[in-house]
Amino acid sequence: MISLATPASLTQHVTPLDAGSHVIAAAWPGGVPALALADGAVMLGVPGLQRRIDVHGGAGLLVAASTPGRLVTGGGDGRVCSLGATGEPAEIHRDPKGGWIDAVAASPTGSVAWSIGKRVTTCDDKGRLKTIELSSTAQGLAWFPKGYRLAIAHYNGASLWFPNTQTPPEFLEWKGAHLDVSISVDGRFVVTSMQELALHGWRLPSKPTEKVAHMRMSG
Amino acid sequence: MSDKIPVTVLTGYLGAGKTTLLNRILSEPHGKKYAVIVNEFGEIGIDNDLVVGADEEVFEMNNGCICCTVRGDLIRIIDGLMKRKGKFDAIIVETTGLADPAPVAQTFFMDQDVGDRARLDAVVTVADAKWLTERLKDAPEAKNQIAFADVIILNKTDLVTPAELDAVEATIRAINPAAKLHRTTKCALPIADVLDRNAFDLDRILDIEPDFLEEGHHHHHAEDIRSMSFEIRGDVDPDKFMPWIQDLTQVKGGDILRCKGILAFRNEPKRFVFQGVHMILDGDLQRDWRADETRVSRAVFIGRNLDREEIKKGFFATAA
Repeated sequence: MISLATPASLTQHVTPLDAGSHVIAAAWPGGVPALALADGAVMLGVPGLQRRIDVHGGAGLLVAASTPGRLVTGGGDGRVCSLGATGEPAEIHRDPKGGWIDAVAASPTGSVAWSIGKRVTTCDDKGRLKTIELSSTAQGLAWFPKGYRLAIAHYNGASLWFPNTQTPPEFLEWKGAHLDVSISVDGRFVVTSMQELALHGWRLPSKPTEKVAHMRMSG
Repeated sequence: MSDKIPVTVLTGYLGAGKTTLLNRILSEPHGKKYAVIVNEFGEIGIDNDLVVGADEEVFEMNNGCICCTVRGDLIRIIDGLMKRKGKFDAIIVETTGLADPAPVAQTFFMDQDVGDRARLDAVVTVADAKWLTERLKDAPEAKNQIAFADVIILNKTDLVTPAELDAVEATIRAINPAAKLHRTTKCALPIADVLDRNAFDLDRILDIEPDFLEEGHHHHHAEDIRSMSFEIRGDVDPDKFMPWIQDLTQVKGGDILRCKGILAFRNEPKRFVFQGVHMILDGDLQRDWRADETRVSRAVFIGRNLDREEIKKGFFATAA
């Protein structure tokens, strides 16, 4: 029990860890600390009781995304894997050509998305795969809160895609190279980071009479 | 030097022999590991974890300036490779025959993350002795690749007569007098001539051969890309030279592919060395002028549609 009389410093609770490799992402799948490592492994468990789980082997782990329940990783072996608190990696997908997984996104609703070059693939909670080919490389992916719509950052803008419909993606245009994307929790704002030191934001219309509004944030 | 990973860029028009050279580099017993970024999988006969496919995506910055174009795929791939530092000693980037080397080179100066971790070692261009002359007429890419090179491998020399070989070499020299040139068949040459050249390292720009300064090299007026070099016998005034070179590369940067120079600044015991890619300029004071050296100031410009008289006038006006 923490005494209120003597405020404890956060640093008293810090345990340094030597991960032994570049840390791609830190996550808490199922409440267990996990580090996704560039050498292809995931380090799972509380300090002192850690296990190294080899997920992508020598090809390396390139990208990772997490939800409260799991850690999703993409590797240089063209595989997308999911790992929960038990540490048993499950393969979600394996690219036949073994291309690098460039980006990955996971939604708490169970949807996962990944990209290899210009090709973006989604997998819903029932394991259904949908694929779309863009005109330029997908650099960053982010799910809208409900996990039905995916935002994709690419050259000259971002695309918003409903994988379960036939509708072509909605294109949000802004010249330049967009590297990553995130969505506001209310799903109304899409913000990308760009190759030039800038963020670009779009406010999506909340009613049909509204237009998309731009936000420019250069630094 | 630094612990930055050296990157060699391999260019050359279609069929010149890039893949032959790459296979040769990878298969020789040099004890080094290379990460290789290729434009097409499958052509390399070497099984290697670290062969990565690239899609040659060129990013133009929002301001639309040619000098700010970079290779987006390279940024992404080098970022991915760097997280596995220690697994390889150097990176080789193979471009397609139609690629412009400028965005590749600029990536190492324009993207901070890449520039912090990797350094451009040299641009190596493989040229086909038999067909280069034809390609220079109809393919602007081939000309760019020659103009941009630090090392030129004039390959397939067995397919031409000695006279034809001399002619093609003269044509290359008219475009790019500064590159190291090697005549080969089947790209057979020591790997040390290709890798670890430090061509973009100011400390390694030791001299600009006086030979390049001869007027005789400028008779190929048909070429829209050409080189020009100038020499001031003595010092230049840094207060005049700096504004001039900055203004020149800002205004003509789109047309200037490469520039280089070694200058004697007034009252400065050290040599001033500069080099540039389009608008990007890098310059610093280097070693002292030796007692047995004559203080001369030399500069080379390689570019398209450059006005020789105007640049000459500008350069000579900076004389101290």
